[in-house]
Amino acid sequence: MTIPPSGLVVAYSHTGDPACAVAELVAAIAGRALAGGMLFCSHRYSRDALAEELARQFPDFPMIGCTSAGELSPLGYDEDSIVFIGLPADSFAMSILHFDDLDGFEVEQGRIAVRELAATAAAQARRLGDQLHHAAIFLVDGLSHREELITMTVQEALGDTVMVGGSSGDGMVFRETGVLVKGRFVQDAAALAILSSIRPLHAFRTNHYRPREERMVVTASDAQARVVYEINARPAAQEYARIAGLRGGQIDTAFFAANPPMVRAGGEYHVRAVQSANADGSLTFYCAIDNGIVLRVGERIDRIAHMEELFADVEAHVGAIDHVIGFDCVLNRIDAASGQLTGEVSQLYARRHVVGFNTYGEQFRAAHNNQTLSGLAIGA
Amino acid sequence: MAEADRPITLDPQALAEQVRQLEAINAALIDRVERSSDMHGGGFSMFETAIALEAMVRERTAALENTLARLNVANAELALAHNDADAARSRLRDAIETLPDGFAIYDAQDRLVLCNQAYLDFWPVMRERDLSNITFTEVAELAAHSGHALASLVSPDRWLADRLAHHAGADRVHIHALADGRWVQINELKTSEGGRVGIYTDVTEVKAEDARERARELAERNLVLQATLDTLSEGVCHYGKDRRLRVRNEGMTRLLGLDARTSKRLETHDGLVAHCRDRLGIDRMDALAWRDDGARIEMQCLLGGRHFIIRSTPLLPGGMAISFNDITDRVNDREALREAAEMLERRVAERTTELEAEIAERRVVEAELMSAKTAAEHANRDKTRFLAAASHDLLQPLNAARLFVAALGERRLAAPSRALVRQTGVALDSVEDLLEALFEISRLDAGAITPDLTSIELEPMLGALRIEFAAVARGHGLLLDIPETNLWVGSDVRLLRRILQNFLSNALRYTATGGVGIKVVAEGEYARITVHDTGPGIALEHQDTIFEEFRRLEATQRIPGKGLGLAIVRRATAMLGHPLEVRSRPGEGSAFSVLVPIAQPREPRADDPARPLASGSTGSRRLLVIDNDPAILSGMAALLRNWGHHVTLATSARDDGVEAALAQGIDLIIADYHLDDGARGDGAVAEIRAQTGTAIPAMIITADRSEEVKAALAAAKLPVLNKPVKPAQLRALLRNMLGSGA
Repeated sequence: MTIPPSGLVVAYSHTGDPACAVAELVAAIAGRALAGGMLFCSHRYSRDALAEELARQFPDFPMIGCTSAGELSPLGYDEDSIVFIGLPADSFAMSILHFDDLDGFEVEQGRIAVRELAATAAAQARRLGDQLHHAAIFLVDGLSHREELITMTVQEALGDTVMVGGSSGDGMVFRETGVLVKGRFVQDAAALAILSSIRPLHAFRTNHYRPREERMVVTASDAQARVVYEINARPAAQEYARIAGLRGGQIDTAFFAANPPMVRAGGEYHVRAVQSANADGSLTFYCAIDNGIVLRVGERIDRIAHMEELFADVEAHVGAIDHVIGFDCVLNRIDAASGQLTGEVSQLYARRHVVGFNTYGEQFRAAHNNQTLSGLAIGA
Repeated sequence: MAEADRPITLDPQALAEQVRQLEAINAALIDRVERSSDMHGGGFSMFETAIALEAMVRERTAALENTLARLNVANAELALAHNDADAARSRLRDAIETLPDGFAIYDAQDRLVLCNQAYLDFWPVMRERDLSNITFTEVAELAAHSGHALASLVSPDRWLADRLAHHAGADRVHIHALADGRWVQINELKTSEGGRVGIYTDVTEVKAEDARERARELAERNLVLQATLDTLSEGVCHYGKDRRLRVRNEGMTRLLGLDARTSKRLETHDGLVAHCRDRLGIDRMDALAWRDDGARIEMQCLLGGRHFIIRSTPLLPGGMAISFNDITDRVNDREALREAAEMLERRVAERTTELEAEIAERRVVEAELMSAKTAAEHANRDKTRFLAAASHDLLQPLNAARLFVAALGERRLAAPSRALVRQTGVALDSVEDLLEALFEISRLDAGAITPDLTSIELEPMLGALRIEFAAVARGHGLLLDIPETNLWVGSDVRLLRRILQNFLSNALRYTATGGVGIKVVAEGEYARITVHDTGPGIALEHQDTIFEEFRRLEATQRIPGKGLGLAIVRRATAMLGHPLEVRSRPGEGSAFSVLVPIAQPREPRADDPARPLASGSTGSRRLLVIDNDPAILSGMAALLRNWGHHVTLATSARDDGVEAALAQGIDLIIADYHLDDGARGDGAVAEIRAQTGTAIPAMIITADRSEEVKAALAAAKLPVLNKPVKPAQLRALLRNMLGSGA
């Protein structure tokens, strides 16, 4: 008698104590055979303790994870929690590669490492059969400034295997995030997991904004630091606020989230999210910026309707959805809150089995994006 | 560019600021553009590149997926098609295996596609070979050299060539004999793709059945043939090339005197010859000689004492047919015929001699008859001429005498003279009548008269008779009753008139008291014209004799008459074919009838008897009389002048005085037919008419009563009076022609 392959094993805990939390996770897993897992935890957790506990409870268990700026649990938007996603062994295979010292990342070495990983993953996945779907999950330190380079390098080396992922967060503190590498949460690191499954896999990316008419040009910036000093030869924050139509009121995160700058590339508009407005009137961005880029200020679209469309499209690709591993930008969450949509969005996520975390940035294929909802849908 | 809400201002400071801004923007943009394609142009460039790559990958993925999808569909369909094809193939295979016949399909490249067991059974050698990709040529070669087909045992290459040719043509059925005694019928057809499909049918049984059927037919035919041969009275036999008997009929045995046992001798040709020579003593051996070629030879010979005709014919491709025809009877018959012929010839010769003698005699007789006939004809001709001449010569002077007497009679004379004249006249009349009657009889006898049968209107004739005999009847104190009739009859005018005249004159003569009459009654197709009288009647025994010449009854002897009238009537009625009847009893009067066929009325002719017109005298006219006889002339002149006419006399049309008379005007010409110098009366009339340019009325007076003259004058439409002329007639005609009251 064949048992139909089981779906993803999702476990979560709100318990602050790492040991208890992990124990809860284990209990929820209930001994099911897993090929590997993903873990996203609130930045408040004591990282070392958590890491230790995880190493103990999941010895030799292929796992990737990171800290977040919020979690997506089976309840929807969640916080101060740990979310664990387990991939059943009878339908998944998982192979992991870690990078650290992202500042010293060398493209060629990275490429080779990724290719080796791909070969290993293929070999390991052979037990599942020959009609397999492949995808890659990429987690990277959200505070590193090397996402673009590494993302591009990794995706290029992966070839046809689509990569999707998120940048680790630290709850809008912007001090230190951690990526789980070899049993420790580490800064300035990245983790890449290649998934092979007999189930259909589909990676996607979307954002909930559309650009307004007015254009602004970055006329002075520090590309390395991702700081824009001048827009339209005027102080950046001021000019941005003016163009965005801020009349009185604070230039704060909510404002950034609701009026994200967008740049046109590849015929589409991509958000270049603002991390912070600095005292000197400059703006720090979450992602790559440069002199001379043309920005437009974005405005909200109907998020719920848009997401329903998105999920309908996803279903068209994978059929019935088992789970969606979601990488939802923290700014989306903030903007949902300021738009009184948190509840609805949560319900939608819960209904659609979206689990993951709120990020400081998202990866989709070779690009590093902001303020998107990216994810990997897994079919039933 | 960043249009924003910059008001257009003329403030130089603001402008300077604007310019500065724009310059900075411009510089940034230009710099960006330049660096945009740099390989290591920084994080944003990488971002852009990544996005671009993404787009390309997306497209490629979409295309790939599309293609994959289509490929999957195609694969699915292909799989389905393969399944179908496989299923079809199996079904076909199963189907052809159920066929009793061999079945094989070769494709357009002549490779074997499919065949069934039955096919392989025909060519068992094929079982040893791998049949995948085998071509027909290879199969045929295998078959040819395996000796499966009978013909291939003899000449495999030829069989192979034939087989390949048949296969290529694929349009006919072929039958091959197989070495194992079977027969296979190969029917190959071209397929739509240019290959060949062949059906191989075992026709052994069919062939056997055919053969049996043929044998039966042959046997039947042989029986029929034999029966036919046996019906021949001739004996026929046929020896084959080996000189052994193939066919003979019953006639052979019969004619050659053989029976069931001895007929064995005929088995060979030599036997036949021996039998004919030794047993039958044939007199011509070469009649039976064996020949291998040549034409048919017929010979008559004696066999066993009988005559035969032996016909021998060499046959192709060898053998001889010989027939024996017993002609003994024929020969005998021929002999008999010949004898009969000879005898007949002899008799014919005899008879011919006899006949020749007879003919000679007859010829003599004929010659005599001929001369007799000639003599008779001459005599007749003479007689006629004589009669004509006689009548003319006799009648001319008589005519003149009559005229003179008539003229005399019209003068004032003393009583005795008058009496004399009267008597003379009477005597002349008698003579005239007698002569006329005689001439008439003679002419009738001589056949000088041919009746001219026409349709005659009776009434004019009767009218004339009424007038003619009125006076006579009055003189006798008798009633003359001739009622009118409208009947037409077919007869000769003159002869009929003569008949009736004779009847009437007889009746008037012999009736003392009472009356005479003519009755015309139609009886069927005939008109019975009866002349009846109240005379003494005629006794039965005399009713035939009265018709003889000069016969007069005693009772009437006293009464003047000649007794010729009825003789003439007899002849006339005989000539005309009109039946004659007498009904009379002594003391009861007589009735003489003539039966004349009724005829259709016709148009009147010029010589019809003129209707009698109301009597009256002719006024004085100027008349021209032409006659070559002066006596006649003076006689006519006297007569006519007596009647009050002016008369000019001439002997021909050219006489002096004619012209003068013509100038004065002539009302009528009276001319004699026979004038001097061959001239004729009608010619004279014509001349005068031409001269004057007017059709002066004319009449011809002639003694010539011949048919030619009558015809000529009728053609010329000239009225004729015959000499001797009766004055009354002349007067009546004059009146008629010159008009009544004229």
